[in-house]
Amino acid sequence: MGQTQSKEDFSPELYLRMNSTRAFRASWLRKEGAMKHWKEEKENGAIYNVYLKKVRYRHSVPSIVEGATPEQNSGLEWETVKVKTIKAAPLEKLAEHLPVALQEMDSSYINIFFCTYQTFTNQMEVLKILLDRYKNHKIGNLSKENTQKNIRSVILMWLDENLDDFREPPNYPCLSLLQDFAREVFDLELGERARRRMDFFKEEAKENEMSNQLAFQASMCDEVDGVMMDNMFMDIKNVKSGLLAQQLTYMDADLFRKVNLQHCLGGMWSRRSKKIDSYHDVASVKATVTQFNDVSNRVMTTVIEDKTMKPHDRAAIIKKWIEVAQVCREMKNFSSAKAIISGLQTHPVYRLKKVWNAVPRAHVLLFEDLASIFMDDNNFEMSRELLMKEGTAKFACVDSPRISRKPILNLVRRLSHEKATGHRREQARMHGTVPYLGTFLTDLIKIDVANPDTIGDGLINFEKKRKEFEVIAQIKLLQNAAKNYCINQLSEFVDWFTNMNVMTYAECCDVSDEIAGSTPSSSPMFSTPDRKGSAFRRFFSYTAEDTTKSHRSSSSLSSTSSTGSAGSADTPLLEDGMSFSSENSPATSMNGGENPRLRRVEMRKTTSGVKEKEKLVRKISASYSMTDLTQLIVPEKHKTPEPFPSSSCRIIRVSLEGSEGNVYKSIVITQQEHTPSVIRTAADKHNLPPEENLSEFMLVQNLPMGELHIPDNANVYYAMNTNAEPDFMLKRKPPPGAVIKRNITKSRRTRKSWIRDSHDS
Amino acid sequence: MSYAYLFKYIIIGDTGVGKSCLLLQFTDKRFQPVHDLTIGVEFGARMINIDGKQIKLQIWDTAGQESFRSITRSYYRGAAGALLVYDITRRDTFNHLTTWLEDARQHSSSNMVIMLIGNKSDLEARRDVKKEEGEAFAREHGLIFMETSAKTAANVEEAFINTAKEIYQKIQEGVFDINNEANGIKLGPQHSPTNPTLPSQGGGQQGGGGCC
Repeated sequence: MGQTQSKEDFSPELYLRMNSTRAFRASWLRKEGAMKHWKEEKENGAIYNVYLKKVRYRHSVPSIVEGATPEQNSGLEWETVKVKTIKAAPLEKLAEHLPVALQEMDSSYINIFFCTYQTFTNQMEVLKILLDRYKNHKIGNLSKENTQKNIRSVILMWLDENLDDFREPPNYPCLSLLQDFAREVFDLELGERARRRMDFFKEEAKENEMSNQLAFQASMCDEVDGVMMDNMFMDIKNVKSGLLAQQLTYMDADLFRKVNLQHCLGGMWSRRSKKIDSYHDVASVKATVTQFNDVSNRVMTTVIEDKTMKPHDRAAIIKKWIEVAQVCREMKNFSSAKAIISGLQTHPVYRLKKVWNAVPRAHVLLFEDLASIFMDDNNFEMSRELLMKEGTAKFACVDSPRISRKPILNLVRRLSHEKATGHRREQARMHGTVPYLGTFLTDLIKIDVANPDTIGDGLINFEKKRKEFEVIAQIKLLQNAAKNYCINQLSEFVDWFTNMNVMTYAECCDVSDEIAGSTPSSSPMFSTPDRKGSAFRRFFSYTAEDTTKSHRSSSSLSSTSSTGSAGSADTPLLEDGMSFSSENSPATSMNGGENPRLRRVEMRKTTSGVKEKEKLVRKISASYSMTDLTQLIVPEKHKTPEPFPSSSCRIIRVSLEGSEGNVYKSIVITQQEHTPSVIRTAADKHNLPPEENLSEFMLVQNLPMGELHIPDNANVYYAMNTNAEPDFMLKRKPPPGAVIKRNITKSRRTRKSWIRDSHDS
Repeated sequence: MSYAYLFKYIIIGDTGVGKSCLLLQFTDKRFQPVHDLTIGVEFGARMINIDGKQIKLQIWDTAGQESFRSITRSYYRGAAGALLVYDITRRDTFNHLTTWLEDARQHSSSNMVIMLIGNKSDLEARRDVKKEEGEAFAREHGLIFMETSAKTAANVEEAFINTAKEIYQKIQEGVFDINNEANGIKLGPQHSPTNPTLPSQGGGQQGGGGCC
């Protein structure tokens, strides 16, 4: 049946339909949006795009187009106006344009700037430029008064709209600077606003600290058994679907509204693992990701956790979650709807054929329908379309033609009815929207990758920021829509959600193996290598004492360890990779080579497989992860050095004489590569100034016994010594009669340091 | 343009290993992203030629969603090839390979051709994972291996094309059932033996492979 299912992916009809809608949309946009690129202009170190825009001529409003007088225009229906936008400019120009844009009433520029500036600068830099221009009032042809008035307005707008930018504990440098400035120019109101903001943040920080302490105490209490005993959510299949969906939606909407839009930008989100500075922290986005994963995890756990459960009861839980997903979808909470579907689609749940057979037919059909919304096919076309259609509408239209099959329709109507009348919260009927953020993040990363950050001589590519803002603006719109939910949070639900004993993906796989009758879970091609490791990968931090759960039987133990022995590496799960747990469990990762003692401990644990140890580890909420690459790495002595992998071309490394450290560039050389072209490429890659006379340079290969000078017009491919490392150096030719000796010692040193480096890595 | 086969590829690997860059480099060096508010940004299809046959590669990339667990069945389903990417300058991305691989194997057809790619080979100076380690990992798990640089375009073409060749070879050997589109292969329009029928929904608990 998988066959028929996936025909859908490739059905030509679908493609045709898709393409025609797209073409239609494009043509429609062209008619309405209608800006034609005319030319590029350079001015004061910035590049501008000039567009011609066709607009409907309005008789009542005097035209602003040059030379267009009312007499000439009588009888005109359309007119063309010139629109000039910044394409790329240095930071100072971009910041200076803010008051100008205000003068021209171009609020979109100001919005774009403040939604994206953190990808190329920081708040302090921007503030300093603005304050400096205020004092020296020298912006374009704005008058002194206008400059000051507009800068002040821009700052006030910034303070109001992008409050988060100024949350810089503990010292709030920007707000302090602003207060000093306000005192200096006797602007009482500005000073007062800055002060109030700072007080607000300080208060907030204090409250957070308090609640953290409380949470800590609460988590201590959770250790006591029985806290959850009489929680109605424990018996998930008997909780009303509408109630569950509402509670999830409350959490999702809250987190979504708090998303700092700058964090979504490709430059911030995709590089999150590399940047350490505090203002590149993307916590607000991560929080939504964590919530999503938490929901998926809980769905999976509730289905899997009780090993003794009958297929029929397990099916009842799946059925419940399908209903919850449907209500979420109806409440336009696409985030939890997708999270639930994903949870049900995970390997441990999805594979339980017997259980799924016990799920009522209508529910299975509904599940498929919901899953198809979130299918990645055609660039998430389905979910995008729904989001566009319903995103800011008051109600979801669930009776869409897609749901035409009668059993589902009845089920959907019943759920809808239950939600509306079964609860006293009638007002919750008008819904906000919580999108699945992932689609936007992918879009933003693609825009980030496809457009350079800078143009020409390091000018900031503002055109890219515009493109990014188009996506950001959509999220912003939805954030506003998310305010429309009226739901009260139930503490009982929060208790259940946060204190639930969540199983890891690996644990679920193991239990699922048992439930399914211990048939190997994966395809025969694949020797499951690391079940043993995965069991130790990660443990949830808040795990109450529990003895019955996830206790692997001895049979499964032996089976896992036998498959495990064929395996290779124990893989640590860090939050960026395939994170499966909440981010508040501190993950420590160690490279195998660096901490042999820990590795041994870990090894012993994996081989003995003692459950108690695992539990202990859980209890102290530590999360071990380790790398054991010993099996991976081919022993040093068996390694045949193969610096030149392919015969038709070779990669050489060329360093530049005099440059410190280990900076070398890799260059591909073909069999036709002669010395001058290699030197030119190397000079290019090392950014030598173009005025350098390249005939003064020579190319040498660093050999263990000294340097091999490649003749000036040789074929490098054949001239080089292929028995040694392809380490080359670009250096100035010695003046006639100079001593070569010095070079030899130098080359020895580099050679040694290279060896050392390669050993370290 | 007509094609003999269409292969579906997916790209997987940690955040920031350069998945989108690889794809961008392969699909178009002078790329202008198609950017339409209603559809979203996309890039990911190119025609290649193997043995005189036109083959369309349709490549799916969900960069940015690595930490959502949503990259499950629907993403892997029906993929003929997968590029499993790590960053040679970041060992953690190499360490996560097993997890990615396990995920891919569990959720995809067992015939899926997986190519291991060590990206950013231009950053030789910052190398953190030896080429030999990549090779050993690939050998152990039966993957094809290559080091690439999305920046300099080194080996990028080769990575996509070698994967296609491997898939093509499997078709020739009859390993892939080309009539089962769950394998991520589709015959081109003019090669279709029968008229495509309207898709009908399959059972939710069944899929291409990997199920028990």
